[in-house]
Amino acid sequence: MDDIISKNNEIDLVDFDVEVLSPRDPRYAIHFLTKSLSDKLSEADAFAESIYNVVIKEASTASQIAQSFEKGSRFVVDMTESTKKAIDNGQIKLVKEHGKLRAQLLDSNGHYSTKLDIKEEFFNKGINPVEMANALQLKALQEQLQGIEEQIVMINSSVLDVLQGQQNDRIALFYSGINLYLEAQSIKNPEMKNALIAQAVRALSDGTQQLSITMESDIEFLTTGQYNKHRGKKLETIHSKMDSINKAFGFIHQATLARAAIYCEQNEYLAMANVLDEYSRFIENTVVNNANLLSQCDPSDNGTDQGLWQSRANLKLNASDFKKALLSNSQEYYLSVEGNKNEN
Amino acid sequence: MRIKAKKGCTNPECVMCKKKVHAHKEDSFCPRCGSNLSFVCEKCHTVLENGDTKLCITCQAKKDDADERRKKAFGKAIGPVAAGVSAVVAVVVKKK
Repeated sequence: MDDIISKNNEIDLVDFDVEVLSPRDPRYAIHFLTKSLSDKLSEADAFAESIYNVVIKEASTASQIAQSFEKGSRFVVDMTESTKKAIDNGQIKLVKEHGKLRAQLLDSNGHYSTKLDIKEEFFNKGINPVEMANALQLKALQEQLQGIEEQIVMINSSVLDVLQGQQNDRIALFYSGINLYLEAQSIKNPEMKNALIAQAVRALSDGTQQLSITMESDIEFLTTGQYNKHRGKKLETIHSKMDSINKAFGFIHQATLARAAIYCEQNEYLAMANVLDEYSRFIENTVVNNANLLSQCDPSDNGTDQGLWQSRANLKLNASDFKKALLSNSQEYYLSVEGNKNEN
Repeated sequence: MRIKAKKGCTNPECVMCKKKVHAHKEDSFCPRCGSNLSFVCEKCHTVLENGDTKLCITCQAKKDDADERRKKAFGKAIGPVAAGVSAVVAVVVKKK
């Protein structure tokens, strides 16, 4: 599994199966989010394609479009107007004759009418209007979403190293959240499932808040020069604080991605945007303002724009734009299907 | 504010940055690559936000720790000698 991360610390997200990865693996959250996003985007693609096919096929019979949103197949009886009236009062009996399905009408006298031909008509892949609206909304914002994803992947590579083997009670909340969500996936009772998902989000949110406070107090320790009191052990104190900051940042990042992924899987895109927006603001307030100080204290950083903390400070998720677009009432969806599409 | 820090190129592709060469304080651009010069740590070449210190926090802490160790070592070395001298002086004074 180590080959997933290349020598340049870049993650290969394409050839990766999130189901084989342990939730305790530092790469879990990023793969969880990218998988959720790519699943939803390919769902949106499929919806767009099926709508395109439905529209093309049913354009001539616009009155039947509504029916095409139902899933399955239907049987169509070829009959005249006079036999239609008979259906209203009688019953239809389906009989098999020479391998062909035929219908018979039962009249008021208890006699069956002549046999009518039935043809089976398949229609397009079932479309759930609610899912379709969600998917199309996501599709319309695909470009912004991919921009956010790229930024997250970039920052993720810098937190992987510090996460291996780190344990404490706050970090336990992160694992608890992930495990609760995984458990919720296997529960059939919808109420219990929703309750577990809510608990998972709560655990992740609590963990994030606690770690944010830890990180902020550690940064304050450095900005106010409190390490100067530790005479003869200044460097050791600075390094231990930096270790704590790096660890907290890594898990805040992981927990944020996991929460965003859960909301994405539950089709709660606005909540997902809120989580990412909150993360963006956290970086702005905590990292951007102290990027130079942190790079001076971090032995692995040189303070340039390509350095660890400056690159973290440069993270621009544009989640607020994504949120605005989601909230905008006047949304228009443009369908486009690339290549040759099979019309059913 | 008195500028204490040295300036240096922070372009990772530039030789001046790779070799951690310091530039003149009056210069604003790197003589090799032309990028903007920044205040850098005298020892490790880490970028400094402003020029009021010569060293970055890590190098300053390293230096302070080293000074502290030196002081302690000096104290340890000088301690027995001082005690010996004071004992001799006390004996001499007593004899007189």
